[in-house]
Amino acid sequence: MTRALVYGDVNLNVIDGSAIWVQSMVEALSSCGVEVTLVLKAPVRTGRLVDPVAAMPGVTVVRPHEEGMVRRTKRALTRTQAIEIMRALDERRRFDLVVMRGLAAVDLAVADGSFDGRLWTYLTDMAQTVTALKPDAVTQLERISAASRFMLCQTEELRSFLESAVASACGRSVLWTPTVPSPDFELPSREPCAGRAIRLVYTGKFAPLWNTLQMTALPTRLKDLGVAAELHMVGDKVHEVTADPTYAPRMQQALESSAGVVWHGGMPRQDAMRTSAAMDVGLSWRDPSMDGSLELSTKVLEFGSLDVPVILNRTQMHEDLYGVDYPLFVQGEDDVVDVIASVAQDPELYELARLRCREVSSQYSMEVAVERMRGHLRRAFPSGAAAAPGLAGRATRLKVGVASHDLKFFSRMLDYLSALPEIEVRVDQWSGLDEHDDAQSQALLEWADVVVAEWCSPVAVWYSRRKRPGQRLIVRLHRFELESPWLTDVDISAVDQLVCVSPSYAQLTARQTGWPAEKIVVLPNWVDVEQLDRPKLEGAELHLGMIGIAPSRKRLDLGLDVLEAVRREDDRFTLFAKSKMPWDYPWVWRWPAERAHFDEVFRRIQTSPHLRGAVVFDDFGADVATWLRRIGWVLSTSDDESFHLAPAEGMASGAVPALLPWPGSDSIYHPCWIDDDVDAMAERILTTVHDGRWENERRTAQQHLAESFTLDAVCAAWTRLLVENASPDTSHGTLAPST
Amino acid sequence: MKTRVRDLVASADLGVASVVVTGRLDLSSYVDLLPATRDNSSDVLDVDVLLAVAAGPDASPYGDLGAAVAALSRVAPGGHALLLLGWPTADLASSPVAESLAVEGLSLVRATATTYPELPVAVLLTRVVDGAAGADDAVVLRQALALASADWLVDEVAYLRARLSTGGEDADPVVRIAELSHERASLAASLRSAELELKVAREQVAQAEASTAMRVGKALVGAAKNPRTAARLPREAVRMWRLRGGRAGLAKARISAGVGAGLPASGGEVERLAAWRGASLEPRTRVSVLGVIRPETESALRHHSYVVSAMPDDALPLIERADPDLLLVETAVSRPSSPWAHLGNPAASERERRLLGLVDAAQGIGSPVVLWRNTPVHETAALDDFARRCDLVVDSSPARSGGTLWSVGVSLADAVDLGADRDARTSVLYAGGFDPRDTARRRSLLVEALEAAGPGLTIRPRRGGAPAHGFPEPVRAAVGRDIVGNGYAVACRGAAVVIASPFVVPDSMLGLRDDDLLALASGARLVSGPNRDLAALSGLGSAVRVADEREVADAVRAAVADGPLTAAEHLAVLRTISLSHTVSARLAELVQRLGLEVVVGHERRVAIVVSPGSCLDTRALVESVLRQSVRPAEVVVSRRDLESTGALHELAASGVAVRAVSMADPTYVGLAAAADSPWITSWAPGSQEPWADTYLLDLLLGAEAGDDVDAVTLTAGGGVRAMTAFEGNATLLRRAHVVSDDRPAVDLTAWSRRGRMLVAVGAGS
Repeated sequence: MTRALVYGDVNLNVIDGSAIWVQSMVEALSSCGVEVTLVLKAPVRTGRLVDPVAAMPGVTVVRPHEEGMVRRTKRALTRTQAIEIMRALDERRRFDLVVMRGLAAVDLAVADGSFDGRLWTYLTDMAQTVTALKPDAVTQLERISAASRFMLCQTEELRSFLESAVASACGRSVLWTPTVPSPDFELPSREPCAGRAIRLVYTGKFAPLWNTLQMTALPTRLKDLGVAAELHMVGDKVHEVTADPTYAPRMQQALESSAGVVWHGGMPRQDAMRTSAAMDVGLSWRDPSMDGSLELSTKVLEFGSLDVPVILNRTQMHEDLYGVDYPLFVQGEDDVVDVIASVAQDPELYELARLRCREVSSQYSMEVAVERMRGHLRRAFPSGAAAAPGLAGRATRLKVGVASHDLKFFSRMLDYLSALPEIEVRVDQWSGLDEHDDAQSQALLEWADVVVAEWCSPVAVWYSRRKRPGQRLIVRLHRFELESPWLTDVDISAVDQLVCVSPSYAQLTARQTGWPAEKIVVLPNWVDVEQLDRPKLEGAELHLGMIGIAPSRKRLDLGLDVLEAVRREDDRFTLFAKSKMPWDYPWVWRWPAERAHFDEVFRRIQTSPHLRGAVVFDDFGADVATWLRRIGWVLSTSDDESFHLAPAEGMASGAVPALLPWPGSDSIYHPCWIDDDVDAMAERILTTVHDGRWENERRTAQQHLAESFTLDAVCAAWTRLLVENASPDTSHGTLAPST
Repeated sequence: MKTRVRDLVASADLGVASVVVTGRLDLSSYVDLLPATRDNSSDVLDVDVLLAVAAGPDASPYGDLGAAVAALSRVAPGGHALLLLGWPTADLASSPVAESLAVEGLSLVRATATTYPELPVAVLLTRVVDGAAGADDAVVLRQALALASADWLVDEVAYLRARLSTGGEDADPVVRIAELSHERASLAASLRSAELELKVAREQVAQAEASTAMRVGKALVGAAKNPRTAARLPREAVRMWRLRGGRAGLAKARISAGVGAGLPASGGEVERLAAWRGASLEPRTRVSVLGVIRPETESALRHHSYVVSAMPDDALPLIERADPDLLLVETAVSRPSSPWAHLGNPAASERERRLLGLVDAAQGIGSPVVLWRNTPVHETAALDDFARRCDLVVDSSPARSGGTLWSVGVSLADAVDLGADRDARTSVLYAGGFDPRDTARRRSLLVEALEAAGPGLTIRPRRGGAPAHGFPEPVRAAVGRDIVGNGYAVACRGAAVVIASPFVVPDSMLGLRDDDLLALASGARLVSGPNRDLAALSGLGSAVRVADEREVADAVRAAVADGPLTAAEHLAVLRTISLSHTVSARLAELVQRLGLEVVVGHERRVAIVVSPGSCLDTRALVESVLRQSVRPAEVVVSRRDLESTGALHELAASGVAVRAVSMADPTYVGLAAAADSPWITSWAPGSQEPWADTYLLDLLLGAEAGDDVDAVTLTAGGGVRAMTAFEGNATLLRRAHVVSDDRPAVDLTAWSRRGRMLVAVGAGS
């Protein structure tokens, strides 16, 4: 059974957002069958939250104060104490994952190093604007991300922000949204607003940024418009404002004496929810300075779960969730009055708002959270036996050695294989194409049941000539090796399987080498759909993208041709190239022909009336998934590719691929994404957008991708390949779906 | 940007007193600001005499290079020369011009593209004091020629493209654009080669020049030599102080802290990303703006400033080359399709990192940064932190805290149709969509307004704005094609009534919107929902109908019944806009807020030239001048007509420059030549009637109502319109024409024959 250690660095005696988060996290893990140990930070003063958590199946609550783990029993744990206790628990019996919340506590755990690779980190107390995120904070987050298995992000916005600033967070950042508990009471039926006062409700603290003082004027303003209204305010914490000592008394006065305001004072959470459920409209109208927050208010979601539509500021994040036409978005007090009057007088509008809120909140239920948690657990703890029955029932773990001079195209597979409980993985990292530690390679050779040579390079030559009897050797051939001199030195008879990434290259390999066709199989590159499938940003359909522009055979110039052609008709199209620049590759930049090519490209970009101001070079980096959110089309205009992952990644992200027919492209991608020439590609882009078909096309592309080479499917195929041969039939036909 | 030769010479402040024109072509009319004589002798000239000569390839009508170089040998050490070059722009950089001039001991002062098709490039030269110029000078010259040629081509292509977009079936521009593109391509090699050589040459001197002491010294010496650059001296000092590690927020500290790490490093190969962007070698007669701005903003500013748009990837090389007076960032660049799309969105935070790097770089060289927030608050809420890093934050709407109201303003040349026929304007225009973000009440009021517009209603959605498909019937039937680019102004010019878009705005978005002002400036009547800022605009009467919620339909119907603005209403509107809301006025306001000592609005300056004669009533002149709502820049008068030199002190004390010219035989044209303003108007001695306080204002708004206006007259007839012939008295004249015509008196009949444009301004009866 999977074992999890949870520490939230929060006081569970106080019911607030962070305490609810701890409760939800434990519940989700428990519901997935995980054995959970929760370490409390503070001595237990009330069992309101702790007791229900302790009662969950498989959950152990560690009370350090009550259990004598700390001397001073009245004070909350220091972070150092917390880490020491966690480490002691881990040493007693190792945990598979360690969930932590709170920047300082996580940073200390990372410095300790005991939980590296097992941390599931959740942070909200980090800088959340570019200006505020200083270099030392980035360094800290890099450190934390590198030590974490997952970075749990509350919103897509926070994930995007984190990934674009912190390289090591890329590929590790997953969503863990707030969870809204279902009310434990029956929701009251509500009469239509017509003919009676509309009931507004606010629950929470009274503070300037929450606009609570302005709210108390709403009933009067609405009355002036002929709309009867009551405002019910729940809470007893009036904020003391240092800069404005008059605020608190004014707020207090307004609560006590404003016309139409009913002040309920403070009340327990469940009672507050019951009170809210009886109202017509919730208020979460805040000062615009809070509009840039990357976090989602649980209070807003709570109103939705109570079937109470809520007034909230129009922000990008709220628009993405509720839709741009949500009728209760506001930007200022006039808007608040306006929208209340509208829904008071228009039952259909009210119903639209209510349903929209309910629909949004339903995405944040515990059921959804449990399903999301199952996905994360599956990804973190895959099962090899499920993919390859041959791995089941082994007395010992299969020893897999991976040898390579460059693992950049195999790192995700390595992570996956390393996570399989049935397999033990060791790596023989060569320092150069033909440079290695002979003793280290020899040790791996003697240890491994299976050797994977990543690249058909001198690595493959070395292992093929020394393979032990009964040992299995798998060699992966990319593209450049086909022209290399050492290919003939590979002892093909010792190779069990030669893996190519596309049928076209498999056939080319067979033709050029004369190696036995039955050994040459195709396992495509993989695309992590779960990471890439994210909401597109507004206007993405007008944004063309290219990933990688150098060397010249990537043919950025043809991409420019396409852009010029579409901009002749519609100058809204823009090309974004995410790439290192050619001068960043010494092996490219030393060639005069390459320099000449790119000089001409840059000249065109700056001087062509159709290109000037329409081509942007974005930074090379691992944040491809975030970058693709703005891209609607991914171009592949190369002269030659063995696979070209970019269009596939684009498809997974929900962009439409656009390929020119480089050799073998149709053995990987469906012909409907391949255009005869630049003009045809430009025409397809224009007509797709202008005819309003982009949305359909991108969904089709995403479906094609799902049927071709998802990460899960390719991982399973690789797992099988470790113990059994793949069919040579994979070297023929196409990877693309037939329809 | 093309520059006239006279502006090139004027802006350089060479300290020359006269011009000697030599060579086959008579350049007197080109250099019309100074007394010019033709002199083909070989005498060496005084240091304060500018030699002007033209040259072209062999057998050109301007004389060949050898002859020009021989003529240039007359320039004394420290003296100056103006050389106009007749080579095809693509050939100029590879021609022997640069080397020949360097060998002759002439080095570059400034080079620029000109407005003359046959002589596309002009170079100002000086003879080095200590003999022959170095190899570096040849390289500098060659690069300058290449850049000036490139600028000429860019402008030419832009001009031809404009003709294409308005000219319909005219095929010539297509062919010419192709030719020019070809020329520009061949220019690339020359420029690259020059850049490489220059890089090597500059590296040798860079080390010596790097010391702050030397640079401060150079700046001081430069200021002493050239008073016009003195205004820049404080900024230079600030820049150097900052580079030495001065306090707070300075580039070095920030960059070392990694804040500017988002911006690609300057220098090296990254320069290639901006190698073809024209951003230097322009004479600084106007404020220089580096912008993270939309093309339409760049276009609006272009008439009044030197403006260069920065891309996310070329910003740093550009800022070093452009050396701007200010960096302007507008949040509307965050819209899709822009190179800066999604700025402020957490999913594109690298955009903001690059912008921060640009801000660091700008502030590091002493250029203030202005953030113009002209998008709804929610779209760029994440930029609030960024705003605190800027030197000035301005907002299009007053809701945002801490900001100052500002927008780029209205271009009268775009708004006013000089050939407009008031009777032909019958449509009611709504330029917008049915915004799903609007509240139900606001949408309902809009529909009410549109339904009241009647059969003349035309709905033109803005491309990239709110869609129009949500409009209910029968309003939906009025939806026409999208408005693209500058199409809004064109659409307004054809409309009798414009319904404001958005029609009703929440408090948070109140404010005077440029679109509304432009509609009014076009001559259309404007109907808007409640908008107290628009209602508060004084003096517009019923030109604007700001409707109460209960009177929307009535207000629209009344506006439709009134039709387009009457001539008197239109003039009143134009006066209001011209005073405070034109691009020039707004830019001046911005520069003033920043405390920059740079010139804005030179193109609006007027000189009053007192016609030579007797009996100048200085009191009447002073009274007329000082009551003007737009004051003239200068008064030029023959000293002979002044009773005493102190007679016009009151004008000088009010900021109006008084030029008392001593001439043996003063003529009107001679006095005009002594003025510095681009426009002149006459004051006749003996004038009894004081001018109305709107006299100059009306003339100037007429001058601004078209791109190529040469003269303006006030008429009894109504409207602002172009005249086919110079009837009556033109009262505002383009000074350059008066001087270059080289006649004893202004001959407006001749102006008519030459196709010069006269605009008449009148309130009508």
